[in-house]
Amino acid sequence: MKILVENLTKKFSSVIALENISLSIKEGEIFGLLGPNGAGKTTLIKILATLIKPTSGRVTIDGLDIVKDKHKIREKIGLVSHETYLYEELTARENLEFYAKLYGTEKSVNTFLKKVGLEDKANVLVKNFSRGMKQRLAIARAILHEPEIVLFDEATTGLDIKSRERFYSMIKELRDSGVTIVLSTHHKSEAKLCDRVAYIEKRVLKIGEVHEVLGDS
Amino acid sequence: MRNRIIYALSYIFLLTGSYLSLLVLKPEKTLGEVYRIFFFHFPLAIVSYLAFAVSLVLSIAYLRSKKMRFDDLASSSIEIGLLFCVLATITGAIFSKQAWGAYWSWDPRQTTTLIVCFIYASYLALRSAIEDRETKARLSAIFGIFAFFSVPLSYLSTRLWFSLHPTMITSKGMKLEKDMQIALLVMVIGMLFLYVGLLSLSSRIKKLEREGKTFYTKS
Amino acid sequence: MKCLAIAKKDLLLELRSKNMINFMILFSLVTLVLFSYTMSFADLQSIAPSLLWFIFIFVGMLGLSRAFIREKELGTLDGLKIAPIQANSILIGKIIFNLILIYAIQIIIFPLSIIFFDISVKNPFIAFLVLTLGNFGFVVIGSMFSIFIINAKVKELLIPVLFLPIATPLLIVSTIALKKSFEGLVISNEIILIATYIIIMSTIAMLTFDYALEE
Repeated sequence: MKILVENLTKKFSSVIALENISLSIKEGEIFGLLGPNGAGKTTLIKILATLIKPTSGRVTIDGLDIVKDKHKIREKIGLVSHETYLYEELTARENLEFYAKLYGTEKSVNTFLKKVGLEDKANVLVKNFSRGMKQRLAIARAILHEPEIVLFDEATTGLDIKSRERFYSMIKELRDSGVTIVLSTHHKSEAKLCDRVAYIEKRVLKIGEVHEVLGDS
Repeated sequence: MRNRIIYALSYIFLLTGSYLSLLVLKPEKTLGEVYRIFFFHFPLAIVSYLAFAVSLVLSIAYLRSKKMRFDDLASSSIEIGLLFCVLATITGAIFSKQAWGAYWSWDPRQTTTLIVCFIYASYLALRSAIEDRETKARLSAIFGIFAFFSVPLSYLSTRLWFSLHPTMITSKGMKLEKDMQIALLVMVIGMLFLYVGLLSLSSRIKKLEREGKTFYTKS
Repeated sequence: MKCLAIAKKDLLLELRSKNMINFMILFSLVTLVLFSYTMSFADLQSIAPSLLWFIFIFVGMLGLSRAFIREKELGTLDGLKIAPIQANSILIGKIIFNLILIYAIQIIIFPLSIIFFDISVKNPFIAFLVLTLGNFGFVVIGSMFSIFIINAKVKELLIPVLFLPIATPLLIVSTIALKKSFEGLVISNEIILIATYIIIMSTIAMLTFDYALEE
């Protein structure tokens, strides 16, 4: 198992965000987290990304503990959120070069600009990008260090249909290159991308293949 | 029940000490009747510093264990310490006025005590500005550590200033006879018990607030 | 060094937008002119050291916190948190950035204040040393406390409340040191005290910053 979540509970003061969640994610699959707003999907993704610590329970990635080995785990993980984590007053290239230094990668950022189709906009300030371009750049930012796992937290928010399709094909490309993907969404069309999904409302209500969980054709 | 004993002990000691220091003891050689307020000033000051030292230990304990109880205790200790510190500043000023003619002399100890009041008041300001309980506990624990270490630094810096701008105050010329020392000790012990009693009460109220068992909740 | 990358990034952002430094220089200039207009030269000569630190601290307080507030506002703080870097690198990077910012302002304002206030500085090198050390102390505390501010309500009002009491020892000694440097006196005691302050506060900051970032 690539990612193992065992009896995970997260409380914020007295509010329970996640209650006794257990699931396992296989290497190389696209795993979806579905559920309404406030269901805890973002909290779960943030815990996997080492942004938040669990209140109780255990989360391991490749056997590494999410709390004790967070440094090593951060090298293996990329996060694409509905927030871009990009600096608007810097160019695309400057943004990527900055993150490349943080992650300590030697590879040229041009490769990644090309991968997301932004090589001709490398020297444009991010604030002049459209939402779709920003999200593409966010993907480039997330995969700079060639992570084994990429987490997507409602990343297609605000994208038009064409950009969204482009996004989906990039996700599939990633999976085909061996990356494990965890995707949180409340769009049915995105859910169909996934190999397996979990329906979450503070707890796991159902796990399985898409058609099993969503109960339609 | 245990708390009642602590309060009782504190009453006994404080009452005895007050009686001794106010009525029994004779006027002091150089300072006359005025020195009696010292029997309040000194215990208040020393217990407040103790309270702050305890808060340092509790803050570190919270950061390492994340048990809310430590945060309840740390913040209560600081609240009581601050109260005692303010009272110490006031009694110190009264003492200073009667003994040396001025309420404020900017001498190192007096000034440090004032600065310490401000430092820990800002601790409480920080707590009131953060809503989430865990964030509040975590950040105020860190701030509490900074606050404590600024105390000796404040003392050193005011001492430096004072050495350059000495005011007309001479050293605290007060000779304590044996019976005065006893009275002082009694007062200090009384204040200590008072601190412990208040600490226990205050932290218990905070625990109940956290559990939502109080009538109105303070965050 | 990853902290340098963070400092460099902040500098680049600041050079592009200039939204902090312009404000800070303007604020300092206005205060400078105001005081030199309203007070006599004799008064100014004696209060100049305190006044100067006052200006730098106030400008510093407003400016230093921006470093972190902006990250939080932009949402990029999380991006820094999930990178495989030591939490301290973020703090050190911000400290370096803030130091450069404060120096930039002082280089402009300090000579101007000498002109406006007509003060004589007997030992400019020592004065410079005092400013350097004092800056360091203020920046360490200011950068660290910015983490508290971003989590709080009423951010701007909280900055001076948190910062000033704990910075008081540093302020007292730095003012004395600056004044002595104007008069050409020895300041070994002051330097030791400032250095002690910096070492103690930096150590606490390095040890606790990790806790400050976690959720």
